[in-house]
Amino acid sequence: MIVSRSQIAVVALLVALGGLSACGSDKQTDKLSGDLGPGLGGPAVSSLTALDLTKPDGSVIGSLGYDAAFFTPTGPTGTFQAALSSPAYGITIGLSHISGRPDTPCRFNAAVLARDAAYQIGDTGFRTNASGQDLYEVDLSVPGTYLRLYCAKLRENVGMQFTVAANSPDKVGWMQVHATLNSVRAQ
Amino acid sequence: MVLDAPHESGTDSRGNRIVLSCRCSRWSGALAVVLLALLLPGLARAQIFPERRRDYDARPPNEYLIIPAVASLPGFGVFVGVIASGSNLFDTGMNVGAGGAESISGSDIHLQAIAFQEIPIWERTLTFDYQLADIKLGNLQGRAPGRNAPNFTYPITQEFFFQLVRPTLRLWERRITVAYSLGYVNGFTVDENGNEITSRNHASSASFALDFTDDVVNPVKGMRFSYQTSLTPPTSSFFGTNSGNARNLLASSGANITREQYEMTGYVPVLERWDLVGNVQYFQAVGDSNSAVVTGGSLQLRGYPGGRWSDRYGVTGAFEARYTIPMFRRLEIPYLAHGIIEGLQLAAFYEQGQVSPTRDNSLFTSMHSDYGGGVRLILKSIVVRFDVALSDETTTTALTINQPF
Repeated sequence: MIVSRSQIAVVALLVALGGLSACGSDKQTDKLSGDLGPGLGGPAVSSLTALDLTKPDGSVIGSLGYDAAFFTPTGPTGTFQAALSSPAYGITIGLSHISGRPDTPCRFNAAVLARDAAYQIGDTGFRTNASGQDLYEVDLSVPGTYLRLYCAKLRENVGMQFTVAANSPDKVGWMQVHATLNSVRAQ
Repeated sequence: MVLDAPHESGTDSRGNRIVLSCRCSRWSGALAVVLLALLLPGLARAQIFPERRRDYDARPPNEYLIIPAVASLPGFGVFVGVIASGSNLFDTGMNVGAGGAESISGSDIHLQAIAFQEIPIWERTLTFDYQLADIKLGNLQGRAPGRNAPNFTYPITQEFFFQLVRPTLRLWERRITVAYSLGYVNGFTVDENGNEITSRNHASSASFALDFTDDVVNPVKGMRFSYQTSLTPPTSSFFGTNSGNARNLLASSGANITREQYEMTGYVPVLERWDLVGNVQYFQAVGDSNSAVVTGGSLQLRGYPGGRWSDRYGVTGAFEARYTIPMFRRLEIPYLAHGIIEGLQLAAFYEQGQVSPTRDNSLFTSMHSDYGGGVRLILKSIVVRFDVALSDETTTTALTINQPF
């Protein structure tokens, strides 16, 4: 069967349109990467107290350590949800359980905070802690409050979100905070 | 070919989007449409409605188009694959659409879908559609619902098998269409302890459409109205039985929510080759839910990714100018295309829309807008559409089948 020139033109048009339609992708890029690092500023870290990280059913999936001279555990520690707080310095690390890939809950929770509480979303990306554990980080802020969300997949499809909250941008990156995050490991 | 979850896709039996247009209670919209239907015979005698330019049921058999292309779907990424559409197969009145795509933009999406439309039950008056899709979403970029949701995506991972059946009744040269849709999805999800579990759920909807235009495929004169509402789905059907877990892949909100969509479109020829098209859509969610944000649908603004703007209420207005270059040329490319090209159409459009958790003036404040242009290849019974749209957030493109409205 003979294909006319005009029909070739039609095919060329469709292919060209198809190529043009490939312009642009919806995926948003991450700026953060690499090692989490030891943190900067704040009181020096002494010995760390271990805390089990568990599934909702109570089985242990990992652990972390915190400086008991700096942080006070509150809430049902040892279960899937707890908080480490330092009222003297205005720093809190909230622990909550997540399922699935770590970037999904961290980015979704950041979007909800931005929508409902007018937080500004900053940099995002995967960081690696001193134990080799990947943590997905999202930075957020509103005047007077600074948040960093870290999500880690610890075992199979479950993990933890660590919500670091402070009243200054420096404190969310203090050595005490990073010592706790660097101690997160899967079990 | 359009693959649609019936509670929120907002498409009619031909795969076109469903609309809405008024600020009214749940039933008043449906009542108005029924009253309009009762007035139809009188209005027809008065020749208020344009006559059909051609009989859709007499369209040439076996017109088809297969497009191997790299294509993007706003909100879903870039794909390499095939889009196929066939019309009036073997003169039975049945249409078929198919798509196979593999994402190449890092979104890790795999799609194989086929849709059989207008399978005759009783001549061409009573038909049914059957859609089937195997979908893997490895890195789909989702957006939080809500009027104030930021332009910030999160990855979604899902894998599921989707089926839909839609019996449809068409009367009076397709000017009246009534349809019922039943969808079923069987997929995997993760529970709070990280266990992979299967999730099987139904969704259903009903739609009613009035088409007082001069053509089904590419109208240039007249009006269209349509209404769609979600229904309480069965827990068991010939597709299967619900899994009973709370994760419903078809509906993100509670079972007490009813979603309604209204659409009105007007077509006006202004010059020999120029047509103007106006389209108004409205959606709402009726009922309570435990969710902080209840979604009645999402705005169909072409300049934003799919699902960018959603909330309990939403309204969209679109204006499109179309310039058609008549061609009437036979298209015969072995294994790729068979049909008659009626014209090449150029289009320019401007759209506005807004969503809100409340039904008040906020729906019409700080509206989102986009504009763009498109090229359409008009065959006897198939329209291939390529649109480029620009908004304050992004530029999107779409290569698909059918007019936008």
